[in-house]
Amino acid sequence: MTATRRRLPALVTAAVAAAAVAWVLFLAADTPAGTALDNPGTFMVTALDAVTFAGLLFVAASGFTLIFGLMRTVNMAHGSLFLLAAYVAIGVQQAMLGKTRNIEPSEVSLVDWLVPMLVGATVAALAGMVIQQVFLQWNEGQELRQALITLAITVVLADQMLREFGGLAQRMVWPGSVTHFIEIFGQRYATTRLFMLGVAVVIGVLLWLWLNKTRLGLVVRAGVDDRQMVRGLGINIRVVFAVVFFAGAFLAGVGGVLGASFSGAAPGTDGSWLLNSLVVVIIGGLGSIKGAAAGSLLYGTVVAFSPAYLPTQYSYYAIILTFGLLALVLAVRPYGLYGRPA
Amino acid sequence: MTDDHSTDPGRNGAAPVVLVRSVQVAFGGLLALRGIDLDAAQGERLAILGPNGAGKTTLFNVIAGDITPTGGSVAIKGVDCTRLPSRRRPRLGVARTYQKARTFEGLTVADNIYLALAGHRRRHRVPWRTAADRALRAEAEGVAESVWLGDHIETDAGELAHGQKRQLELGMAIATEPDVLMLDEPASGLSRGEREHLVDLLEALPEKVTVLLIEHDMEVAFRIADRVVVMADGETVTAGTPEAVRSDPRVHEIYLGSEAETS
Repeated sequence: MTATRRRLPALVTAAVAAAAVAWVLFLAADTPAGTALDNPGTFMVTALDAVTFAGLLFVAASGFTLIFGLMRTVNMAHGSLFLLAAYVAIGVQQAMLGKTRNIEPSEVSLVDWLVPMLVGATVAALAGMVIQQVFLQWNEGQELRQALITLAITVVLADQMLREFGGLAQRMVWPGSVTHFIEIFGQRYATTRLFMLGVAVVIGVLLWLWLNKTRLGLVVRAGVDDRQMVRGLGINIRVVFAVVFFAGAFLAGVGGVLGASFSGAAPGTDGSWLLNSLVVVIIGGLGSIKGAAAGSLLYGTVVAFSPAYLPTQYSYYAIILTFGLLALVLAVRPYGLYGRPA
Repeated sequence: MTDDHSTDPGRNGAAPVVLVRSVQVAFGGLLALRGIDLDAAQGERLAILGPNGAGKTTLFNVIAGDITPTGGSVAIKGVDCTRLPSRRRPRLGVARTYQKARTFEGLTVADNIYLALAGHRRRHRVPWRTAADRALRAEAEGVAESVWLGDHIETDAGELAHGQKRQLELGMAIATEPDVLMLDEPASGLSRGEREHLVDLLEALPEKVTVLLIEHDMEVAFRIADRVVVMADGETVTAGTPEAVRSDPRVHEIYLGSEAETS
């Protein structure tokens, strides 16, 4: 009896997942996409949308979860760093091309995209490190205070960016060499999305190599387990904190540049990407890179599939499914998929 | 093992490695330590006994630098370090374990020890791998073997049995080549077989290492210790050889009770 009750959330989750798969495969005839069996092309494209968007989510959220994992700092300014990098990169790209409007992808070489990306991300990383050194370092262990400080910084940065970069949406232009369309089951698909996924995979691999194959990565992983003990071994963890904050903010910046190329940058992008990062790491488990990858995939899947596979008159309610996903995951694993109690 | 240094501090006339003088610690109105004196000579194996709340762990925290005492002084190897922060004490040659086994659960056994070695040698700042790194890694595996974890080098610490975690903790402490090794209840939660194992391990420690040991298990404490200090209510009640302490009526009264009578 109690065993059944304890397993109830898992059973409900399994049932919901099975129902969702059955719905998409056989029952979704009355939706914009149609059933996957009738319309395999639409299904493939939706699945690709899910995975590629998950790539962007992963880049944005991995920095957030890295910082939290080591320092237990919920960096509410993560979205601001994302947007700051986006604006800076757009500015650099426009300066490199010598014009501010009507930039065609064919005019943009790979370098005209990569250099602004690196500049933007580095600016975000430096800004992040200043935030950490000036405001957070001496509040170590005061999690609520750190969250409030970074929240305040978000408000200030949002105003300053509005003053500096204006209120109109701006866009980073993908390099022409990756801007093509390919045929998938008779559907046209933009290769820029695949490029975005490629960047995310490269970043994921680099992160993995850093954390698992280098000495500093070992110290970081040890710090995630027990900061105090790392200190007890005679290791100066403050230097490690600064490096990790730099890396986390850099990742936010790369995410921002990808996001600005994908869907543009405007006031409010900061808030929505803070929210996106939060959702991903709550699903995946705060502090886990693996969790960020899993959370990105799940969240990306729900974001891509729900508008396409909800009955036509309910498409507006797609966003609610995100919270359904959160509720389900947390009911089964209260610390997220790969999370551990602090 | 000699028994004749029972109560006189500083065996062989040498300056004690650990010198604690009238240390007081107050937590608000509560006096956890009321003027403790403690000496440990080089190579001495000193067990600290006492009921819960006697102040044993507090004394450890003071020596390790996790707590700054309200009064009194602590010197290690003749250096006054009463106010030295804990992260600087490893350089004085102090290593400690905790009441609850503390290892890096997400890291393998080899990585755990490697990190202790790297921290000790101050090499952790070089982020890439070097030739010395390979040497360090081989050394870590050697340490793992010395605490009998040679077969578990690539196991995550989180997956080890409780007794093995204790062994790993000990290995990490040994890796820093300490002059003073402080063990806080190393046998707690271990099975009988694991305890035997631990005693063998502790007896095999290099002779020059001074060991301070808090232990509830009499058998373990009496087998390892050259000298026993009994604490109660933040004060030293008595000190002496295991035999002398075992037969001390005051100790019976406050601590040993029926356990000593049966032995």
